[in-house]
Amino acid sequence: MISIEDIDVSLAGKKVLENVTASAEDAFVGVVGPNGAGKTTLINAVNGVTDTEDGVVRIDGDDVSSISARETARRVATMPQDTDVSFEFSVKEVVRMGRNPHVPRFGSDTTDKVEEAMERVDVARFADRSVHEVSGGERQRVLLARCLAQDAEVLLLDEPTASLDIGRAVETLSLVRSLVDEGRTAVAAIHDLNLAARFCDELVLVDDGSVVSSGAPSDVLTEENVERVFGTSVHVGRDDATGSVRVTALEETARKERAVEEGLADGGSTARVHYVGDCAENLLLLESAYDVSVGVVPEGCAVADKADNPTEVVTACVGEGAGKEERRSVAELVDEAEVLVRDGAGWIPKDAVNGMPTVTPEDTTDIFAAVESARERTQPR
Amino acid sequence: MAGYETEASGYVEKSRIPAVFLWCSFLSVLLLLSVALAAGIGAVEIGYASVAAIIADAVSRALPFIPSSSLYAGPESHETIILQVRLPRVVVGAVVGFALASAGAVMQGFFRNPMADPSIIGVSSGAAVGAVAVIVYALPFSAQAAAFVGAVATAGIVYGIATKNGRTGIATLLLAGVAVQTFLSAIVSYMMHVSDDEGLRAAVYWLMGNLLYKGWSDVVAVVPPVAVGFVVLLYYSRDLNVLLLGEKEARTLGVEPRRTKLILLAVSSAVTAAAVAVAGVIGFVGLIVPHAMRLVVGADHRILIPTSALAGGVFLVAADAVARFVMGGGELPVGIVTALVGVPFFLYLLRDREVHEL
Repeated sequence: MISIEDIDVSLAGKKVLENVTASAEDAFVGVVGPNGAGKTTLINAVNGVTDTEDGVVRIDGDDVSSISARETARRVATMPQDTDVSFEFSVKEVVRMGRNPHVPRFGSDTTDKVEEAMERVDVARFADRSVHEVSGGERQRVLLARCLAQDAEVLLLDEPTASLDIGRAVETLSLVRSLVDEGRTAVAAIHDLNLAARFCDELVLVDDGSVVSSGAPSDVLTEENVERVFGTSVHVGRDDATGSVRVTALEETARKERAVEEGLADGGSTARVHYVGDCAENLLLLESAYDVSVGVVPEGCAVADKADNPTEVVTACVGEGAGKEERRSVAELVDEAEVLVRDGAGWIPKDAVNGMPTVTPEDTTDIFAAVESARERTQPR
Repeated sequence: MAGYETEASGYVEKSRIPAVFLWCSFLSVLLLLSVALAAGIGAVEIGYASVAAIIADAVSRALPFIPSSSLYAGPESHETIILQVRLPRVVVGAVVGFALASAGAVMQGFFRNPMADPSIIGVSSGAAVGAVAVIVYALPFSAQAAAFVGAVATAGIVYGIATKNGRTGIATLLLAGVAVQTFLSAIVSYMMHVSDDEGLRAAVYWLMGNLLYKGWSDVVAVVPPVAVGFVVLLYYSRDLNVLLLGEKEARTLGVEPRRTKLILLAVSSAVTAAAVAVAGVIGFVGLIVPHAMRLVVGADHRILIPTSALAGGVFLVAADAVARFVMGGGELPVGIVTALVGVPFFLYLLRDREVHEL
């Protein structure tokens, strides 16, 4: 069993993991999160490759930093994303390296683990070929076979399906699943949220070096969590075939449709909204059915580019601020608007702000609700 | 010898163990044969039958529990020439070749680069400084001891330069080695510049690498460090295989990368130092032999190191025989022969095969 207790890890002076706590026992735990979130580092902290700055990683109760590489390797097998061998080793020789922590130096391996592992992962067919010759997907399976030959209680897998086609990916994860059902513990960094949800018992969602959420896939992969961490709109539902959680990322038009559908469900509002700010990620607002005007925002900012009607956008050069011309245009636009969305700094006519229903950055996680309630507040006026 | 190597081949496929055994046996026999044949070459003509008889007699006298034979019945001077002049020289050649090739196999694995040679971190240059200093300034040490100390010290310094916060970068090690070699070459050049003619000639001769005038005392000096070092290298050969996957992966397979790398580097440098100290700078043995053997037996260091070592012995004995043979009664430093054979082969490899990570 693995327990990660409040660890901090820095690589080249940069904090990569901070206050991470997690554990796994007799379960298949998936580590999910965007690129650069710290998934690989988390795996390398568990197998002893990377030292922790603070906190402890325990394997069966023993601090990883206090047990030898050999002992760690007997307890924890790691499947890297890819391998980089400089000389010509055959597939079988690479799989055999998994026996390294078990075999005495001048002794030989008397078990059949290597053959068994190669059969089970279906790499026995090309056992004598060079690891350089086989495809990326085949090489990943070779590394999985090496992991099996290592015969450890804990399996750590870094993107085990990254180079695999859908069939092989499902095959690989089913294999890991069955190893877990046989009583092992597996922790895998998995890119594909749907595969992670389908095969893992628990998920740990990491973002920017911290754990955002952990628990059952359906609790972790909520629309809110995924949108927050991945910065993209998603729809979370159930998969018809497997019954597991299914996350669908929405493209621009789909997001817009959904925004209209969800954000403006009550009353089909097409409120006139004015946006001013420092161009934070409020694109959703522009994709809604609202009639949005924008200004003053920095030139070239994404909000300005996305606006439907260029005449309702006022931009200013960064550093120069809004000039007389811009201010007059903004004042006109604000005057026409029902709701003002103020996201950060930006010039706004003082008199317009008074009595104007305003949505502030704190409300921006649910911009539609905020806009609707702001409108409601002003209805009596 | 051969039986020992076979035991080390733990994860070699079971059906391949006889092949390894055959390779090592074959090379061992070849080594013995080349030693005997090389002992027959020289200014005084001595037939191979006599050479064989003299060696057999000497071996039977040296070994306990077997009755001493007396197969040889020729002139006593021939026996002296074989046993006191030619044989020690040939044996030194065999041991030096053995040492350089095994260290070369390790260095190539260590640097993950098939173009690495055993002196890549400056061992030979360090040895040259030690030996040339003793020769030129007539210091009261043996040139051999000074060369060994210079070689080991240089390896240590280069390692120290390349190590920062406990981490040793392979590229840094390589570049530090090149820089230190250049620096030490300048020192050697300076010493030779200020030397008198006699010292200069002796220094140049040492630098060319040769097996001239080697006696049994040289055999006694070079065998222990090479034998001990070789066993250590063999002991770590499987770890070296795993290290080829990179430090991180090696760690997950139970190899302590930093400690293992330090041991491999230190021991292969010491083995090289012992060889260079006794025979001077003999180039290309440690580069070509492991490279050629890798083409034949594969990349598994548990097979590659012993077969390279044996083949290195054969190669240097043969090169030395050529060095003596082509000059008739005269002598050619063996380093010239190995370079003349080695450079074309090296260039061929350079053109023909992909050079990794340089």
